[in-house]
Amino acid sequence: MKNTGVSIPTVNRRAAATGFLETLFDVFRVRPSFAVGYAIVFLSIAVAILAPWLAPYDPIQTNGSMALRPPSAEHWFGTDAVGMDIFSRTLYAPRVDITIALFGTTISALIGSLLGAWVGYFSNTRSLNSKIGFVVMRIADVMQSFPVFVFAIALVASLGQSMSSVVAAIAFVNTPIYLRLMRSQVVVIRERLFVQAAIVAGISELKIIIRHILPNAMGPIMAQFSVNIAWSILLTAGLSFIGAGVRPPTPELGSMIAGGFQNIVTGQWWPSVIPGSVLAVIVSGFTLVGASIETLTNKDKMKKLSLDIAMHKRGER
Amino acid sequence: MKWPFGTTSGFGKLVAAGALSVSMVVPQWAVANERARTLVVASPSTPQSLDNEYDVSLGTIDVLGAMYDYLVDYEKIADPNVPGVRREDTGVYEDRVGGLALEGKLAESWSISEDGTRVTFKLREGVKSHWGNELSAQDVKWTWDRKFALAAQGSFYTSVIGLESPDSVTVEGPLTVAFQLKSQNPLALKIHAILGNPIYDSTKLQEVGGSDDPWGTEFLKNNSAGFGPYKVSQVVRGQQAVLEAHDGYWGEAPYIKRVIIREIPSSASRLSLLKGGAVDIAQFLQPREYLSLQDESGITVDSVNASYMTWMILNSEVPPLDNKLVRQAINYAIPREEILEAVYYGYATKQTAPVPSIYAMADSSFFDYDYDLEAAKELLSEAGFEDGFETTISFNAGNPVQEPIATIIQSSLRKVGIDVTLEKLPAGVFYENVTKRQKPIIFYQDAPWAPDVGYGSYLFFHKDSFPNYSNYVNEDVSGMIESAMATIDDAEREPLLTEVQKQIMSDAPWAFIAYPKYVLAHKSDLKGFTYYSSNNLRFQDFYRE
Amino acid sequence: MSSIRSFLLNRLVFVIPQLFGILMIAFFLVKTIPGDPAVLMLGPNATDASVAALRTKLGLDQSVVQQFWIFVTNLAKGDLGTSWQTTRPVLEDLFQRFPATLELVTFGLLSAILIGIPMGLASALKLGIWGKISNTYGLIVGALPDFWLGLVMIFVFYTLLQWAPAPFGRIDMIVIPPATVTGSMVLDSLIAGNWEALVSALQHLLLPALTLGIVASGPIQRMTQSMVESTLDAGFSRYQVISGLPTQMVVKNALKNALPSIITIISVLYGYLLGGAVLVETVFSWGGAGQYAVQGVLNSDVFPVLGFVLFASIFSLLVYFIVDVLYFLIDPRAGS
Repeated sequence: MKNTGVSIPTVNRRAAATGFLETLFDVFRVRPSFAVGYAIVFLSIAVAILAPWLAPYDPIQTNGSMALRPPSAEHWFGTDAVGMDIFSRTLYAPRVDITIALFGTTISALIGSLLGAWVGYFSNTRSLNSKIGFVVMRIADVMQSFPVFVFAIALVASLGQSMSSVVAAIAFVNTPIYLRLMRSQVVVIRERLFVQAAIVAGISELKIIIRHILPNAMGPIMAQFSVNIAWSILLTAGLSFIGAGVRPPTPELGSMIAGGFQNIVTGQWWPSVIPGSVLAVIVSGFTLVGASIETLTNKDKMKKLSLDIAMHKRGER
Repeated sequence: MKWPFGTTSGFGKLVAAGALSVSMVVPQWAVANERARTLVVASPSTPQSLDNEYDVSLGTIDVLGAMYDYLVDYEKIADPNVPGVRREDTGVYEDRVGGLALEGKLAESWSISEDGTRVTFKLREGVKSHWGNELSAQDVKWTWDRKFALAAQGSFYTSVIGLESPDSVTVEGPLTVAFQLKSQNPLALKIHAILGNPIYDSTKLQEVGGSDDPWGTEFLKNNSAGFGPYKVSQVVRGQQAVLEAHDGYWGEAPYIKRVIIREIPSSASRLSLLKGGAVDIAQFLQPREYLSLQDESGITVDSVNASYMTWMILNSEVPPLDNKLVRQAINYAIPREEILEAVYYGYATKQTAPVPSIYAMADSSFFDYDYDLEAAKELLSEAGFEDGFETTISFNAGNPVQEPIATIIQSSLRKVGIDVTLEKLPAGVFYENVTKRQKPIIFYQDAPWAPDVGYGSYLFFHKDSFPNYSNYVNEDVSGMIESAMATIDDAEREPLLTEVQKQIMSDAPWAFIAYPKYVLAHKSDLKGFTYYSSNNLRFQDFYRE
Repeated sequence: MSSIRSFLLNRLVFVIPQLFGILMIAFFLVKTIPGDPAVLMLGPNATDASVAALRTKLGLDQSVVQQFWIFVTNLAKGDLGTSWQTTRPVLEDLFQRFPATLELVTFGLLSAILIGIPMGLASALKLGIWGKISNTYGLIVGALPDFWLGLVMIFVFYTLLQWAPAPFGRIDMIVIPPATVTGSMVLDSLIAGNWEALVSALQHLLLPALTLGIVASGPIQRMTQSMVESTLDAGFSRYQVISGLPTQMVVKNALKNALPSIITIISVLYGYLLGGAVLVETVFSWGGAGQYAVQGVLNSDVFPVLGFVLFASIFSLLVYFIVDVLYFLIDPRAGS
C-alpha cells in the first residue's frame, strides 16, 4: 500500500508525526484547488441530503401566476415556465444526478475491475481462461468503439425511461474503462515476487486475486473513479437534456437546462443558465477530487507535492 | 441536396428560378418580384406523407388544401373579431341548397333529392389536373372508390354519411356524379367541403400505380395528382417541401407562385427567423412567443377563435379510470385558469363542451368542472380511492405546451392523492400510442373538421368510431348520435345533440382542458389569412400589399 | 518499414470482425426498442392487413437473427435500409449529414488545439499570471456541459449582443450554398470561390465549433501540461538547460516529446466527439448525423441508428489508423 497513503513519510517526518490534519492543511496550502474540490463535493452531497430542509418551496409545485419571474428576494433563482421555484429545484437536483452517477460508476468499477483482474491474471497463460479473456477484451474493444452517447440513449430507450435505466447505461459504457485499466495493472503486478511466491505456495487463484493483487492495483482505479463520476454526471445531464433521462418534472439539472432552452432566445436566461452553472461547479468538484487522488497514487506527482510543501515551509521560515 | 439549405433549396436559387445565380442574370426588380411571389413558411415539420388517406400530420394538412380542389367550398366572410382575417361562412341559409353558403369549386352546381338521400353534382368543364388530364365524373367516383378500397382514413367519411358500398357513388354522365345515401344525412353536402376529401386525378394515379398499386399510394406519398392551384415540386422530409403554382389551374391564378415550407423543429428558431425577416410565416409558436411578437414592427399576430380542442384522453378501459367518478374527480382537479394564464397567455379559452364552442349547437351549459379539490376528493372517496392511486400521463414531445400543462396537472392531482408519472413521447411515436388506446391518460389536440356538432360527437364519442380513443362506450349516447346523423331537420337534431353533450360531460371520457386559438404570426405585408375549421392554411389565399 | 506494415495489417485483420461485432450489438440493441416500424410508417389510420403486409415486406415477421442476416446481406450490396421518418435511403441521408458533423467536429478540434496547446505550455512553463489562468482554465472547462455552454453562447452572442446569426443550420437562408464537393460548407464555398457563402458558413460555424473547442481544449491543455512538465523535469532537459541551450530550444524539444500523447488524446477526442457532438448539434440545429441517429432512437427508426454507428465506427478506426502513421513519422521506433 505504499503508493496510496495520505502521509508523506520520506520528506517531512514532523508533519507526519503531528498528524493527519496538519498534513492535509499543508497539502491544501500548496494545492488550493484540491481544497476547493473537496469543499464542493462535500457541500453538494450535504445539500443533496438536506434539500428537504433547505428548500423554501416544493420543487415540483407549479404556480401559474408566478411563471418565468426573474431572480428576486422571494425566488432567489427566479421561477421557470410553470412557476416552479428554481432555487428549490436546484437544491434537490444534485440528488438525482449524483446518485445516478455514483451508482452507475460504482457498478462499472466493480464489474470492470473484477473482470479486468481476472483477465489480467490469466493473460498470456495459454489456458482456456486466457482465451476467454481474449474474447472479453475484444468485446470491450467493440463496446468502446461505439459512439458513447448514441449507445447510452439506445440503452435507455430499450430499457424504458427510468432512473435505473440511466444507471444501467452509465454502468455499461464505463465498464470497459475499468476493465482495461485493471488488466494493465494486474499484468504487471502478477509478475512481482510476492505474487509469484503466493502462487508457489499453492494459494487458490481467487484468493491471490482478492488478497494480493486487487489491493495493490486500486490506486489508478480510485483516481479514475472520481473523474468518472464527474463525467457520468455530465452524461446523465446530457441524456436528460435530450429527453432520454429521468422524467420531468423530477428536479434534475440536465432536464432543467433543457426546459429553459426555449426561454433563452426570448431573453429569460435564469431557468437554464443557473442550473448549468451549478452543474459545472459540481462536475469540477469531482474532477478536482479525482486530480488529488491521482496525485496520491502517482509517484512523480507525489514527489513534486512533497517538494512544494517543503519549499513552502522553508519560505515561511 | 445538403442539410439544411441544400444546393437546390437556397433562397437565392429559388429566386433565380433556375440553376443560375441571381447577380448574374436576373435584374434586381425581377428578384424583388420573385421574392414577393414566394412564400416561405417556417414549420415544425415537413409533411409526413402527402396522402391523406394515411396521414393527417400538421405538415400534410397545410399542403392538402393547396394541392387539391374540392367539389365545393364554404364562402368566406370577414372574421368578426380580427380585422383583415377571413373565415368560412358556416351559417345557416334557408334559401340555399342544404341551407349552406357553399360555392362551387370542381362542381358547378349540385342538388339534393326530395327525400334527402341522393346528392348530385354537375362538374365544371375543362378543368385540367397537374398532369394535364381533364376532370371527369370518373375522377370523383375513383376518389371515393379509393376510400372504400384502402379503408383507412376514408372509411370514416364513407360511413359517416352512410355510403354503403362503392356502388353508392355513380357516374351519371361525363360530368355528372351522384351519391346515394342510406338515409337523410346532415353531412350529405358538408362532407364534400372537408379537407379530407380532395378529388384525385384518377387517370394519372392509375397510370403510375399499374396493377401493383392500383390506388397510387406509393406515388401520392411524395407527389400530387389533383386539380388544385399548386403542385408539389419537391419534398425532402425533415428539411423542406416546395410547392409551385399549377399553370393550368382552372380558377383565378394565385398571387403566391412558390411556397417553401421549411422544417425548423424549435419554435424559438422559427420565432427568430420571422423576426429576422427570413420567413414570411412562423407556424405554431409557443403562446409566450406570440406575446413577445405583439409589439414587433412589421410582424402581425392574428389569433382567431378556432375548432381546436386540447384535452386528456381518459381511457375508460384502464382501471381506475373505468370508474366514472374517478374521471369526474380528475376533471375537478384541473386548474384551467392557471393553465390558461401560465401556458396559453390568453391564446386559449376554457374547454366547456366536448365539441368546439364555435360550432352551432355546441352547448357549454353542462360544464360544471370549475377547479374544486374538495369535490374531487369527495368523488375519489366515493369511488373508493380516498388514498388516491398511481397513474401515468403521456404527452407529445412535439407539442411544446403539453409538457407545462402536464406538469401543472400533475402538481394539482398530487393534492388529491393521485400520484402521476409523466411520460414524454417523441412526436414520431405519439400518434401510434394514441391510436393503440392503451395508455391510461394521454394528451390530445384535435378538431372535428366539419363544423357540425353531430359530426364531432360521432367522431370522438360513437362507440364504433375509430378516433374514439378513450374507449368510451355509452349505448344511449351512440344511439342518439346515430339518430342525429340520420335526419337533416335541425329542430329534431338540436335536442338530441344537446342531450348527447350533457351525457358526455357527465361521463367525462375526457379531461377537458382548453380551446386554443388558431394563431398565425406573419409579416405585416402578407395579407389574406383565412381561417378554416380544419385548422390549415391554403396558400392561394395569401397576397402582399 | 515492414514492421509498421505488418503492424497495420495485423490491425486490419481485426477491423472486419470488430465492425461486424459493433453492428451486431447495435442491431440487437435497437431491435429491443419498443415501437413497430410498420405501424409508424403507415400512420395511425392504417388497416391491420396493410400493416401485416408491410411487416412481411420488411421482414419484420421473421426472427431477429434472420432480420440481422437480411440487414447484413443488404449492407454487402451497399443498402443501409430506409428511414421511415425521412422515407429516404439511410445512405443518402448520411452522405448529407455526416459531412456536417465532420465539419463541426473538425473545426471544433482545431480550435481546441489552438486553445489547448498554448494554454498547456503556459501552465507547464509557469508563465506567471498566464500560467495560473491556464491552470484554472484547464480544470474548469472540462467540467462544463457542452450543451449548456452552447446555450450561454447563444444567449450572449445572439440574444444579447446580436453578433452571431440565428442558431439554426450551417448557412444563412438567403445565401446560395455552394455546390457540394466535399460536403463541408466552408471548403465547398472556398472551392466555388463563393465569398458570401464562405462568410455565412464561417459565421454559423463559429459558435458551435467554439463550444466544442472550449470543452475539448481541457483534456488537451492538461495532457500538454503534464507531458511537457515531466519532460522538463527529466534529466536530459535539465542537462540541456545546464548546457546553456536557449529556453526556446528546450521547450521545443519538450513539446516534441509530448506530441505523441497529445496526438493520442486528440484522436480519442475525435472519435468521442463524432457521437458526442450530438448535444451541440441539437442546440444549434446543426442537422448533423448525431442528431439523425438520436431522432432514430427516439422514434423507433432503426436503420438511421445502425447507419450512423457504422459510419462513426469506420471513421474512428480511420482516425486511429492515421494516428498510427503519424506516430511512425514522429518516431519510427514506435512502429515496432
